[in-house]
Amino acid sequence: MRLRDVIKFLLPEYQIIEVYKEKGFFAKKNRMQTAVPMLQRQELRGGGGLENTAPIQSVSSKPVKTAQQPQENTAAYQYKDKTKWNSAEIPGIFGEIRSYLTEDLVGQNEFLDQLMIAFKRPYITGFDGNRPKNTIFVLGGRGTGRKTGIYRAIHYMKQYRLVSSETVMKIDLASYPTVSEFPLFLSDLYKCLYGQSDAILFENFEKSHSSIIDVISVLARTGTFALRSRYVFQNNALVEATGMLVQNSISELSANGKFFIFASEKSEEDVFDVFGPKFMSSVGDVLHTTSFSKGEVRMLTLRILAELKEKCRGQLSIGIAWDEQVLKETNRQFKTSTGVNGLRNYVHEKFFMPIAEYKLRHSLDTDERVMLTHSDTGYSAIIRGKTIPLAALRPQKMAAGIEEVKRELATIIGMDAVKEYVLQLEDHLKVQQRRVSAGIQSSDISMHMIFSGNPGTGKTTIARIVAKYMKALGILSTGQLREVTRADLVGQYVGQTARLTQDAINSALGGVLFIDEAYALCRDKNDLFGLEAIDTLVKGMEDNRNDLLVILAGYGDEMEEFLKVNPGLKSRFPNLIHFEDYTSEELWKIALHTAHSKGYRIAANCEEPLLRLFDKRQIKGRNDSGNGRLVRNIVESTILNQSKRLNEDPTAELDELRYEDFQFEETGDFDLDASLAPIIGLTDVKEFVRLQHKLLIAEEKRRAAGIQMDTTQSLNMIFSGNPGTGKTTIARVVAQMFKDMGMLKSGHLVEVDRGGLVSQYVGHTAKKTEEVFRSALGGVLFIDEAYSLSSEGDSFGREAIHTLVKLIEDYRGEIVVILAGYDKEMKEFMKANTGLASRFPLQIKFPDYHAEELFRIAQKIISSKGFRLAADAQQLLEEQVGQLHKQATADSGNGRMVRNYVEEIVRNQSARIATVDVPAEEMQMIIPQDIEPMKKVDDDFDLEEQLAKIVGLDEVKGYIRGLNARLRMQNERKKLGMIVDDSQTMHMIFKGNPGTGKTMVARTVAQVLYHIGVIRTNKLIETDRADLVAGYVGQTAMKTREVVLSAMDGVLFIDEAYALAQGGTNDFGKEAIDTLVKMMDDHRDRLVVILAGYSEDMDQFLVINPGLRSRFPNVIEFSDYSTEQLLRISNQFFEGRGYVLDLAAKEKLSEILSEASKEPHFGNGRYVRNLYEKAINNQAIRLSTDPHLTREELMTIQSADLERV
Amino acid sequence: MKSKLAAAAAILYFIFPMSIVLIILIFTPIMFLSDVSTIRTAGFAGPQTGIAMIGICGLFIGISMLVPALRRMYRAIPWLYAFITIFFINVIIANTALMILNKGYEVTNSTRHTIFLILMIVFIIGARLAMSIYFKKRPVTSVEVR
Repeated sequence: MRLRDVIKFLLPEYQIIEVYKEKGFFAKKNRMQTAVPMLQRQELRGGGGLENTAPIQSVSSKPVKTAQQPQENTAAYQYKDKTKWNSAEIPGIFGEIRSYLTEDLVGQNEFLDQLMIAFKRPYITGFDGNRPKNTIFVLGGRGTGRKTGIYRAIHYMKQYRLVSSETVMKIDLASYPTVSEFPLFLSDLYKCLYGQSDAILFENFEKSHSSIIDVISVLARTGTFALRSRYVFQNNALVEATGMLVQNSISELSANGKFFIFASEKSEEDVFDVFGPKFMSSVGDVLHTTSFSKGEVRMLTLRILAELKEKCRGQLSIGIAWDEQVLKETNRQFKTSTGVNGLRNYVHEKFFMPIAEYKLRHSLDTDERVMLTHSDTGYSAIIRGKTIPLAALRPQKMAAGIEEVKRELATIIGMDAVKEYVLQLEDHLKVQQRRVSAGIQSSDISMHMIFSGNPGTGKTTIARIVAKYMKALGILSTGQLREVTRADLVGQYVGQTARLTQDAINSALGGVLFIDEAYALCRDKNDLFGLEAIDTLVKGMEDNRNDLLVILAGYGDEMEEFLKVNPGLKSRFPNLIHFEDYTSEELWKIALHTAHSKGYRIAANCEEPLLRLFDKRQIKGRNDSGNGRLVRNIVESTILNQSKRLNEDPTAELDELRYEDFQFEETGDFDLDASLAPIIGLTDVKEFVRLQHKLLIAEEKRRAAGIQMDTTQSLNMIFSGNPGTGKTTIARVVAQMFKDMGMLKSGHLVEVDRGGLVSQYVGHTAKKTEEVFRSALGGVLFIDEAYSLSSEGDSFGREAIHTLVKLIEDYRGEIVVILAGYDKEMKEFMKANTGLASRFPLQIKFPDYHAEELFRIAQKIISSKGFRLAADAQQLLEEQVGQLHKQATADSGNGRMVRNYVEEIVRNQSARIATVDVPAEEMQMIIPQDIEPMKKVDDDFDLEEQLAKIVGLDEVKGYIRGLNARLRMQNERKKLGMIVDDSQTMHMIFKGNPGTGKTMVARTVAQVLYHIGVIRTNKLIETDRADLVAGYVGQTAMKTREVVLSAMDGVLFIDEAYALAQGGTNDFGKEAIDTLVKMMDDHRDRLVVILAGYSEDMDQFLVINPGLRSRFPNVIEFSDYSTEQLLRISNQFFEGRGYVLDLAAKEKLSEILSEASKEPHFGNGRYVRNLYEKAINNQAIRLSTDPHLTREELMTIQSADLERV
Repeated sequence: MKSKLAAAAAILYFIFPMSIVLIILIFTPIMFLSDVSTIRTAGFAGPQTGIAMIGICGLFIGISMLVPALRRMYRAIPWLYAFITIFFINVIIANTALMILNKGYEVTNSTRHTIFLILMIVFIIGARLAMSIYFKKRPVTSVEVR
């Protein structure tokens, strides 16, 4: 060391001068170039760099690591390269490794040679720090030493410092079967790529997702893989750095120059298919292991036994030896499918474990000698001269034999088809085994099953037995039953589902995955999570075809829907096994069995009622009886009842379940007449019900006599009739009757109307209808106002009908459907749906109640409410109800109308009691005062007085007088109870010129008719063409209908009626007439129509419409007024309003009138009115100039005031 | 614009605190001997300014290195970084040495004085040697681009 160096060392300040010398006082312009990166600078200085550890000459053949360039995106590989080798020595080193391997492994010479070449390749051909040193495929059967070879080779390479670490990182690609495990895979891959190892072993690549294969293939080809986003390595996992500002985030993974080794049992073609030609071109070597020859197997066996010996000495301090028999037998146990590992496990199970068990239980000296032998009874050990069978030492596992499973299967009651299928599997398997032993390829059949059937039909039980059976047959390796439902498979958030499903599959591997209520997995295409679960399941089934059995269970219909969701499902589950509902006999057997297993026995006399009970409970299509579970519930509740009985009667037998314990529903004799008696009227209906009852009795008799006849008939009915005619009541009786006769199982009545069947949304109606229908199964479904389902343009209603029709077909005999509605509408309804009529053969018409029946109903309601009728009130009530009945229309409600009326009476009575003091015992008495007359007939109506107001028109007056008299007489006859012709039509036609008083007369007619009681109100609706006819097609009928309805119970007066028929053939007026005529007929009792018009026009009108004349029998001619009559009218005008005509004026008036009446279109009364108004006007003008007016002047009309109009 | 502002800030910072710091860094070692002789001739401990000195210099140097805008002065004057690193350590050593000596002269006891003088010299030699070794291992250069 020179002095200068010493000074430099002692005075570090000198470095400042050096820097100054180098860079100058101020930095030069081009600063960036001079700023030397830290790493390079360190290299330049040669202080502490990586290369320092290795002498220059030894790394001469080593490539310059380009990865030394710091790249911000790629994570830096932090482990030091501890390798140290000279390229000249490489062949020699690998030759030595090869010789070591020969000692370590048995056979597989070719494989080992290839392996050496594969590992040697990069050291000869060169490599960089980025791309994998080599990509190697090792293919071959299980247990042929693939991995052992690799591990040993790496181990020796480490010893020769060819690699830095002897660890081989392993990634099991089967852990990433779906794309949702991709982040996990990235984490694991990162750990492997940046971990301290020189080789990565990829296993089970065929079970991984394609995206994972992509990553690996890109890495293998290029050495780097660009991540889709930036990641940070946190908490031992790669975390996506979204939204985080993190240093050291990476977006690229590097292969870091490791060996990529793929181990698989697949063939080379399969590998090629999975990875594709591009990747395969970058693969360095594809190696194959071969199966062992006999000699090699023997050597293996010896080696494994030697291992055993070593293990026994080390762990148990026992020295073991074996004879040739043991060697032979062990040798025989070698299976190509399990390889070395299988044999090792076998030896462990058969020798080591029993010996260890023996050592555990007995005290043995150290270095005890044990001799292993084999005889026909199996292996045994000779310890201290005693021969101990080894098999007996191990605790027996719960491995059920085939016979045992079969026995278990036989104990199951019923389900013959299922049993048969299960047993037939064995035959198939036997044949397959024979084929295999004969050298023919065995054909694996898909064993996956679908169990469809109602709850409680033993699906789970059978699944458990199937699992055991498959295990016993050797199809499944472990035979456990993993029972899952949707909740176990479908996750809460995206990506969880696949993992959950995969977990479920993994836990079921080797056994049976039983998915209960499988249809719930995916109800429709919108259930993305469900779909994901199914996809994962399907893939899992494919991947583990040989060691997994999937059974889907669920209800029949739902399962069929479910299978449609994924088209691949159906073909993957070829075995569809339907579990029928138990018959009652089977249920009885189950009951016996259940009771027996609980330590009870069922008394013999219970068989019959129990069978009946089961029969009743098993309603087809209801799914809710519970089958096997039903039996259990019944037996359990019976046991409770029995305990109660035993408490009271301690002497009774403790284990007997008696008849009374079951508490059967007593089905006493159904007394039809008793239940029909309270129903008033409806004799026809009652008759029909009685007939039906007789049919049922006959059926019962036949059954008692042991004759089996199929007399089942469609019992669906239509009840047509007006509201309040007792349809619902009868329906209830019918339901009860059918139940008691055993035609229906539960006999309840479900009452719905359109709203209960039809939904607001498309597609929901069918579901809703079906729900209602199912809830009514076993009873009666009563659809009120059924006709409303088929109203025009109501697609939902039609959907409901279609659903109903189908369901009625499906469940014939399980349900009685009753459609109810008004007579006419129901007829139309049946017409609208051709299929309906044939399905409802029984049509029962409910007639309206007679007055007398209504009265009895009223009495009944009153007494049921706790009121009493006073004697004199009886008569009045009867009269009033009669009156009501007379006025009743189809929709006034029959029985309901009476109920409302009675309620009104009760209200009146309460009001009376509240205001007047009534003795306590009369509190519930109804007296005539309460039954208020329906309306007060205006007796002081004087027809003559009304008619006197009308001038002239004697003919008209005569007609009205006649009408009045006739109606009065009819009333009198009615009062005496004589026959009355009510059907007389009152419609009239008024013909006459304008102003002849038609409207006025019509008003009078309305008054007359009202007071006589023909119509209920005295209203007169005046209308004409404009009110009846509309501008658009289809509107006219509606408009006319509205007008007519508004005139209901009164008089409809149509002025200028002939105008309806004018205006050509396409005129809407015709439609108005048709509507009018129709409504007149429909409401004959409630409407009086008067058509008015000019004589000639009306005649014309009646000629055009010949049907009209017969409907309007009363044609009344209004003749023109004579001059005299006109004078009287004008006098009435003037005098009635306080005017006086002077003489001259009177003369002039008569003159004007006589002249005017000769004019062709003389206005008659209306002319007089106009004349009068003109005169008043003129008088006012005349007087307006006069300031002093006397009373006289104001009253008098002078001739000058009169003027022709 | 931004860089110009930063340059202005750096220049200002260099003119005001840094120049003073530089002067302190230069003069403390020079003044060290006279301080020592003063204490020795007076026989009493001098004022305890060492920690304050180190603190003030450390604060301003620290700021100049932490603030990116000010850091450019090290790039503009390449030797500055080396200078400040080495001389700051010198200042620390000198002040620590003075503190040791002061400690010894707190009490009037010639033996104690001699002991502490020797202690101080040993400390200075040791510290300087350590510094030399350190800078031999890790030579200072101009400030690197971080």
